[in-house]
Amino acid sequence: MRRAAVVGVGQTECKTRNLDVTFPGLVHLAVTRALEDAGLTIGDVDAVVFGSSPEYFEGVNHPEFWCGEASGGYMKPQMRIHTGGTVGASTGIAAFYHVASGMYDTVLAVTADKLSEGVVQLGLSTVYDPIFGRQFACGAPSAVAIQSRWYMHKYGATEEHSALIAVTNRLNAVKNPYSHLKIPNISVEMVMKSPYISEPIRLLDACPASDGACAMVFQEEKKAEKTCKKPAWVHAVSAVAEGVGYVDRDWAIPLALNKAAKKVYHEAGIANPFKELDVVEMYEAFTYQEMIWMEGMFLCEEGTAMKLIEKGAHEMTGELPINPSGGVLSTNTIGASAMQRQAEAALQVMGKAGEHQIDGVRRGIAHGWGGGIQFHTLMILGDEKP
Amino acid sequence: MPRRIAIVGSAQSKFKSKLADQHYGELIYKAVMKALEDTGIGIEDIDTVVSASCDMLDGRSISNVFVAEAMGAFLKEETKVEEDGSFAAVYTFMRLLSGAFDTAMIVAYSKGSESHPHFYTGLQTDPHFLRPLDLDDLTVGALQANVYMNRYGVTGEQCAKVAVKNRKNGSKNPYAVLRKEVSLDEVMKSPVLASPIRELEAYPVTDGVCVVIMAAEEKAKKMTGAPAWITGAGHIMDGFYPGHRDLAELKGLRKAAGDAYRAAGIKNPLGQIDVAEVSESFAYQELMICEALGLCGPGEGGKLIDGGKTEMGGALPVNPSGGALCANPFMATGLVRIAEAALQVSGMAGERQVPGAKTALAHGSSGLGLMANAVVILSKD
Repeated sequence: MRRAAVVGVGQTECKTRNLDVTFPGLVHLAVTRALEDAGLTIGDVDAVVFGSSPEYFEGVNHPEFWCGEASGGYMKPQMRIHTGGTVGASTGIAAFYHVASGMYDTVLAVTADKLSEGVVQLGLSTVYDPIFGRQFACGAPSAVAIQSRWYMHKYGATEEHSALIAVTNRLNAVKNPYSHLKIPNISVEMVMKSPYISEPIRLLDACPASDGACAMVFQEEKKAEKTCKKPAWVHAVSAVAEGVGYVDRDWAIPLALNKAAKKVYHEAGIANPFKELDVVEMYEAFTYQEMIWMEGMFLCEEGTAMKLIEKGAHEMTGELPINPSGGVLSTNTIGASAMQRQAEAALQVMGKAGEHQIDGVRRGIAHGWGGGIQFHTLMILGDEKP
Repeated sequence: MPRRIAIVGSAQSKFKSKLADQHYGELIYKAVMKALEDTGIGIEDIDTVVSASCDMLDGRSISNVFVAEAMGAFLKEETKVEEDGSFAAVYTFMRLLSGAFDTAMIVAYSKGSESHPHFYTGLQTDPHFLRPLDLDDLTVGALQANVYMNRYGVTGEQCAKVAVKNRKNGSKNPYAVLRKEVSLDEVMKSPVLASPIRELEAYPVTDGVCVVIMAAEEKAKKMTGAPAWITGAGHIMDGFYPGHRDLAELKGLRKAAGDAYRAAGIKNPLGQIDVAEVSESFAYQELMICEALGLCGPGEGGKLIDGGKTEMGGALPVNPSGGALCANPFMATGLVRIAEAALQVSGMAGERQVPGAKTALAHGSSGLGLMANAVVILSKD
């Protein structure tokens, strides 16, 4: 396969309500920053891949057309990817395949959502089946509450474990200039005292709804080496689907993530991911998912993630830092969230993560989930050519 | 290109304006099973599934959530392109070209009957400038038709002839919604929907699914004796605001076709292409599409249809299937064009077969007034 690398990353500051900018404006800001970061202009870009999540969020169908000039896709090949929560990652992966196919050398991927312009949980409740599901449609928190409770019941994880995860992510977010929710004085006690929004998920166990955008520039090998002194090479990608409503589904074991993880580790030649990966950026919109995804991507044995959390292995100074950026728990635009994971992993590999940089990152992994908690994406990025 | 990719199988629903007796999951499952059976393979032979659908048509967020299983995507590499199915096909082509996968299935669907074209297309407008005008595909189409016809003196009769030709072709297509021939007089006397577009010059609301199976060379040759090789592909997005575009010229489509032609080594499209399947939601669009594809000069679309070159038996038949004027399942329309073009070069198009077709062109479109376009070239050799 043709090699491809990330040579530029652009993010917008994320907040509850970005009143001074339109949805295309957000897209444009991220694109401009990604091109500046790469030292390229839109004229260097051969194709654009656009991603955003349900169009009910902004109330505009096919928003890629409305944003077409802002994304730089005007009179270029541009298509929109939309896979729910994974869309940011699916868009980055699509940009990778655009390059790997040999059809395009420089591909811009951009994702965004302006969640303040819609009612997010209403939009997410329409995921539920109109005949069998709408009566109890309950947005995302209640669905993940069921998953969390399932995991706690199965393995004995507690609300304290969840609070530890919240604290780590929220402390990390303070160092990330683009993150939305910053609570520098966060403590386990504060998390445990926050009200339930859907048991066992408390307010501080949950992500905010953010306005924001993220863009990445992918290039083929020769151009990437010219553009960037230290590009982040794409070592492996995967996006796997699972079913959603089948009877025997075990919500604590993400089969799609298992399958995706096996594929990317195999392709990247990784035998012991916990040892061989230097940083993880994962999509946990709610704290408990961090433990489920850790096990799902084989960072530890089934039911043992809580021990790593107790040890602090996931902290900035731990054995395998998870979400130095503060993660989705601190910033959730939905549309851009899974791309921000890839972008942050790339920044870590490129050594450009600023205050939340982990020393000596050689290889990082970015994760996304979406749909009825059944789509999972992974991308491994490294400082050496694959 | 690093490796050769072919279309090895396809399936279409028997499209209807309303398939009230079937859930779209059922429609998808049936089409997927038919495509697999006709190709003589099982779902385990498919490496990756790519779908095309639209949340606002399905009336639900993340439209692929509940149909991933019906598509056979359970624990498979899967993704969704929220554009016309032709864009999903182009992306799938890239996924195969990369070498990451050897086989792929593309699934595009909609139940237009459960939505309304006015909402689906009208909500594509931005909330600030276009939404207050209450535009949709029909009204933007009417504006475009007027600009085009006035600039080049293309007549209402010439546009109507497209409907007559395509409805005649559609009468032989078992998958078409509209299968009754119409006369020029009937078209010209049909009520005006938005001037100059008349009722018989517009697409029918359509329910249904299209599935296409692609494979890399080695597997393609094992799966079928008549693979349809993809020799070129291109897609381009033009400007969003109709007022910012020259509506009479499909600049984006011209560029997309240029990219596809370059890859396929086509210098003289009229001479080198044997059959074309294009996505004309309204009759006038076929004339504009033919111009942008370089089948005739700018403004000569009217003369092209007058000369009969695009009829069955002409130099380059356009839409032997009847085109989008006979069945227009949003999101699947362009994929149907690709499936039909593949059937033509495989010699399996039945009553609508263009004898000896070796090279075929398929065109798909997304957006108002043919804003974004994809072109795929298929070849017997």
